Amino acid sequence: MRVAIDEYDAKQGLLSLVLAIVDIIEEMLRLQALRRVDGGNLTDEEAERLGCALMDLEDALATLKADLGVTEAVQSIRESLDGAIRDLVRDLEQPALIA
Amino acid sequence: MNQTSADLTALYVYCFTEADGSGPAHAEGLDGAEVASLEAKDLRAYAHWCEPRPYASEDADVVKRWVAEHHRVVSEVWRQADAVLPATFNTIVQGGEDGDASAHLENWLEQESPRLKDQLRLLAGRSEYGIQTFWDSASYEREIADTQRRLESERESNRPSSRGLAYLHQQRLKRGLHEQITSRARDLFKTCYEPVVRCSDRVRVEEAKSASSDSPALMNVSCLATSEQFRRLSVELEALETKEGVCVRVVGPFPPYSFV
Repeated sequence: MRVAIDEYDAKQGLLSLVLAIVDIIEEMLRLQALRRVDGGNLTDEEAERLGCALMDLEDALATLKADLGVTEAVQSIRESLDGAIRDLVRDLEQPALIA
Repeated sequence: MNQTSADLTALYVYCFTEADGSGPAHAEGLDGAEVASLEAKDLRAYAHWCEPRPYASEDADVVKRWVAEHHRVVSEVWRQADAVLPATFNTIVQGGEDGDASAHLENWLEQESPRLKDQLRLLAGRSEYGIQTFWDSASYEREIADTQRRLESERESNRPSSRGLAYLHQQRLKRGLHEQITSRARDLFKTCYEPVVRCSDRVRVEEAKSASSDSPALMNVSCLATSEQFRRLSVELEALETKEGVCVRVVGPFPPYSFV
């Protein structure tokens, strides 16, 4: 079976993949920030700065995805990665057959 | 099993059964090919003569039709035999050092006879059923709204006014909602899964795919059950629909494709 790849599609694909990874990192940062704030390790001022930085990062990412026209592609990559991780966890957690 | 043409040197195999059971006198296979049976060591294989290469087409409709024709043959045999071991689509046997394709298949049946017979014994009188459960959309929306309301009222007293803290507050609410909905979905999975395990011999968990975002999929399993076990399972699943706010979709009975 032949697969036709054009240069534009390849660039968009690569961009989507990179932005999907940045998206995941952004989510991890947000989770970590919430843990630190809830853990009482930050002053109100530090928490305020962290919140503003995260909000700006989220806005910038959304704008970038929209400008490059890859919002849906990034979402689709994220869903595929989620599915792959779910399969892996399922295989580790439970046997395929239960007698 | 007689070869019908010089080009048709391989055997396309549909399924295996015990040789002493009944089976269809005549069946039409892929592209109308005549399906015949071949017996060895008390086992029977259903197959047709074909060219020694896999069935392949770039036209998805043609492939779908072949798969449906394969399934039709397996189902016809399965309806008459006590147990059937379906072969995967495109299972093709070629001749070997021991002779032509039919001699090779006979030898394989002889070699694999104890294993195949054990599997047939386990499958006897049992069928495969597919069971999917979805979160009923009204019940799901109610769960979201209730959880959101509860979380918001818990946090209302310390709602921040500054931009950064307000963002973190909103993220915390979102996360809390996600965690609680996920936890409820996990509980519902267990509630739906337990009767399936109780009322079947074997269960295989598949990926649950949501048909729509307002009615998320909770469980997608295949199970192997007798008709009596399935009758009991149906009663339990019906009770779940009324009690737990889930929709249940059942397909089957099928030949036991997922358990061979």
